[in-house]
Amino acid sequence: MSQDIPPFHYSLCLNLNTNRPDLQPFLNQLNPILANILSILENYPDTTGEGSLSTNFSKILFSKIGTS
Amino acid sequence: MNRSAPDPGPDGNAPPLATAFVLKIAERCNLNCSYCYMYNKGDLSYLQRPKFMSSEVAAVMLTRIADYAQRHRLPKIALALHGGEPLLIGRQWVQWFLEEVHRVAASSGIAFTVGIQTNGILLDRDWVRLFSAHKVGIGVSCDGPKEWHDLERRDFAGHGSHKQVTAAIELLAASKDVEWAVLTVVNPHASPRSVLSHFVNLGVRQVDFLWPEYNHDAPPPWPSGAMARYFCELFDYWYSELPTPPRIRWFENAMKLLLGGRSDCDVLGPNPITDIMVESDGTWEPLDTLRICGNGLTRTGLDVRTCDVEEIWNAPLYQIGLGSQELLSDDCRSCAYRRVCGGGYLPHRYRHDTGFSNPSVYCADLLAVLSHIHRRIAADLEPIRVAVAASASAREC
Repeated sequence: MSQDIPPFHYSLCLNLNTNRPDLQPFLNQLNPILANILSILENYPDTTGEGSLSTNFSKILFSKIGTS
Repeated sequence: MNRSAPDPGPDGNAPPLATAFVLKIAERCNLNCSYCYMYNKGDLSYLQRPKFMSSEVAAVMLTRIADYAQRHRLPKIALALHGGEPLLIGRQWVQWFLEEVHRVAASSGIAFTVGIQTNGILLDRDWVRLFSAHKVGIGVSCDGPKEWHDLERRDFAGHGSHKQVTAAIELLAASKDVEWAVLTVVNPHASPRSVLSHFVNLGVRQVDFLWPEYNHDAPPPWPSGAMARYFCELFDYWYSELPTPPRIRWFENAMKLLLGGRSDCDVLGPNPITDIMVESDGTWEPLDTLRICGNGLTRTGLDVRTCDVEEIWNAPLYQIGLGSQELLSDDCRSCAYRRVCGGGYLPHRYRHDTGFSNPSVYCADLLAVLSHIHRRIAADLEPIRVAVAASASAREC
């Protein structure tokens, strides 16, 4: 997709603990607004005491939202 | 003699700390908007206060805020010039104030950011030049196309203000070196597409859509579901159809919260409400929109000339804002979206007999909008979820 997509895709890959090129096409096609929000979340420090968003990221995205 | 602060000691004993102060430098307005929570929702306390904040009060206030920030090691403080209509106080006063802010910042080491919320009527090139020079962020209130804006935002003679605010927005859009945004109060009878398109055509890059200030004692005049229809249609248009969508704070915060993040505003999410108002007479007060809950309800009598910032921690209404999540109703506590809506904006929860322990008067609409956004995000993330799940299952094999 476009070159305008922010570099968050790479950090999202890292946070998914994948480092896999097979996910890149999905990430590149993400809605740009959603992509930007995710990039903001990536930079959040952990203030919850529940582990950083990084470590909880896939759980939050794919358990809570993805299956509800 | 100063009264001592309640607990200025170690920050471990302090409540969540305010880093934003809303300064009511002018407590009169040149518009008479029908939905105004300052003047047209039953609170008359403004009649007991001076029209404008004096420079004496402003200087003491700045020193108090800087001292407070130093005591709690807060490196940054946000100041919002507010009203009424803050530009009514005049450019000379505002210029003095901004210079005073720089002086206090230099002597205290505290970084102040300053913003202003205006109806745009008086905004001209000289104002914009002044704000640009001092890096003041500008918020302009506009409700969209003329037929909707002028329905509510009129002067005391009944004349609409759309022409003037449009000129102000065009001026800002043509200014390269000033940060600005638009605030709009939603009328659910309007077309959300036409409102957002109006802003896009004017060059607006940041906008927030505000839910009008109502509560259980004075509920919204439209049927339940009207706001949900408006916000769902607005979201879909913004999220999927606009080629260069502006930032919309409410939606961005809803998405952040749905994805497990935090909100940076007080209308969504479970954050304590820490913002402190300073009235034109120099009193510290809690959240100004709480005025819709009762005449004089926000009054504290805590004067900047005699009281440190921390004294507001003991004000009952301020404590309610800090502990708003502890007052959630049983319905809210059992709701899956509790951490996203936070039970709703605090003033919208109010009812005279049960206080703030109620779901928002907009609860059904909030639930419908948030679940709509939730579904849209989940659908967009589904291909990634499937791919991750498939690869995890392949690894297990």
